[in-house]
Amino acid sequence: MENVLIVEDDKPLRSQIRFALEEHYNIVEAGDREAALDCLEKESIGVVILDLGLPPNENTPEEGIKLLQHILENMTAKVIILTGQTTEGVAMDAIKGGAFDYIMKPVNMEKILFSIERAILFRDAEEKLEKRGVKKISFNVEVGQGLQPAREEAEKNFVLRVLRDTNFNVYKAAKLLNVKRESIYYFMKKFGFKREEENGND
Amino acid sequence: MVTIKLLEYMYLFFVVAGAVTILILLYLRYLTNRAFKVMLRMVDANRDCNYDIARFLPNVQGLMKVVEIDEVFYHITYGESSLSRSYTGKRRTVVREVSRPDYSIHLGIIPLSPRGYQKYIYMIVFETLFLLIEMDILMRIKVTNDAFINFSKLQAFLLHDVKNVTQFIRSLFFNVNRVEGAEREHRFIESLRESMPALKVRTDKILGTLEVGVAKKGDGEDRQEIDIAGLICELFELHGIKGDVTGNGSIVEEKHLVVTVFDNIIKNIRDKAAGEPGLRCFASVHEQDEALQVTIGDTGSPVKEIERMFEPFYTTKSSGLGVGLFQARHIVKNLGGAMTAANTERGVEFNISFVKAGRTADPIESTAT
Repeated sequence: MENVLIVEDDKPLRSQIRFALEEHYNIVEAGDREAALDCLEKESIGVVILDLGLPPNENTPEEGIKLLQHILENMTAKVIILTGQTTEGVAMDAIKGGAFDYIMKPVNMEKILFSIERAILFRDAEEKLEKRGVKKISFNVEVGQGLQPAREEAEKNFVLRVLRDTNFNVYKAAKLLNVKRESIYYFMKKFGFKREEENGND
Repeated sequence: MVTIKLLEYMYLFFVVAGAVTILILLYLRYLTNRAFKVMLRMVDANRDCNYDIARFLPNVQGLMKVVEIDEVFYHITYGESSLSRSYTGKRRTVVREVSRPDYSIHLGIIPLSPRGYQKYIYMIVFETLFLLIEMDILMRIKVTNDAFINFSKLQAFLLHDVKNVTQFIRSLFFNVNRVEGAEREHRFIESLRESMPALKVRTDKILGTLEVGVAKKGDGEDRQEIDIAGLICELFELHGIKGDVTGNGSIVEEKHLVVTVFDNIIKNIRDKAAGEPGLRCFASVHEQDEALQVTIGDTGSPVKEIERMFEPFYTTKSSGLGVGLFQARHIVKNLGGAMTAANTERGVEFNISFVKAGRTADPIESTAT
């Protein structure tokens, strides 16, 4: 069964969502960002259902957005936002960050189940493509600013993805990208890439 | 002889010149006094009109005549409001304009005496009028913006809980219709049993927030005996806080209000603990005459500007709302008690006193110390 992580600070609600999903999926729970990071490290999670308003700032989306960014930068799990944070800016941040779906509370459970099914379908398809050597890289560009920013954004995402996959091994990354090692150092300097431990990412 | 005559003329000249100078000075003083009086009356009129320029500006016309300004015309826009009094004549006008993103002012006058000292006087009066108008507009914009910000904060404070409770009910409805088999049924009931304390605190908080500022004549039906030490222990556990609770005592009150008070205090401590590892909590409850004294605090760092903690919408957290402690004190006051906070040797302490018999008709005033 697929592992689904529910990140929700409201314990009663979390237990009800768990109860609704546990017949179909293997459920893991977390009540805050730290606990969620712990779960993500220990388990292989396919889908994350994420509430953005997490302690200690339940009334703002800060904690949720931080967790979303971490997941999208470091894992292949699909993230479904299930939140009461309804401002347009928050939804934009989440979608721009790469969330798979954005569902506003209150919602019928059927919708959540449907979204999880689609997320798994997409994740499986991406995994199959990846086995064939095709990697999905997403990036945001502003139409109207010309090709240069789009090109740079694509380049940045692509190089970063390869560097992460090779655990920032410049030799391997250069080989995979079929460029000289100097070019990798150039990109690292240009885009400000640092190894994860240097970067202090949690 | 000639010298004497000359001295006489000179004496006369100085006497006349002195007299004329005195008269001129007296006249200038009269003009200045008149202008100051008009300015003071403008300030008073503005205050009497409750700093509402729509009411203030029609009163200005009469005052302006005193300082020989024949007419005032304007076109002012701020927010969704617009005020206008136009002048299309060909007489000499003096105009001052300002245009900002939130407002614009176009103010003009038609002076009767466009020269000399009078010009200096009416320009001062004109500038004062302009500043009063701009100040009123800025004040109104600030008050409106603050009200909207505070309203949205209160809404966010409520919505987070209301949406979660609604989502809980929807999920519950979904699950109730799908529970099959004895084992699932048993687990379902167990999960509900586990959820109930947290759900109760959440609904109590919603009710407590909705009742802020609502005068309520309690018929006493909802009041019950509450074990305060037990309640604090429950909330410590619910928020995952390690703390010691000593003493005991109970009050008879509406439970959701008392829960809201302690939930807000304990959540405040929990948020602080997130940034101060090793912080410990403590609470003590003891009865003193007809009052129940509760001390609840933490061993963390002192709070700056502690007297402002209970101010509505005041917060030191970047994403805080500043509602919780204001709400807690509001409830305690309405229950006839008092709530204060202080930086002590141990850490930050909240002291709450409840009247054991319940709320009184005349609530005790309290101040943060």
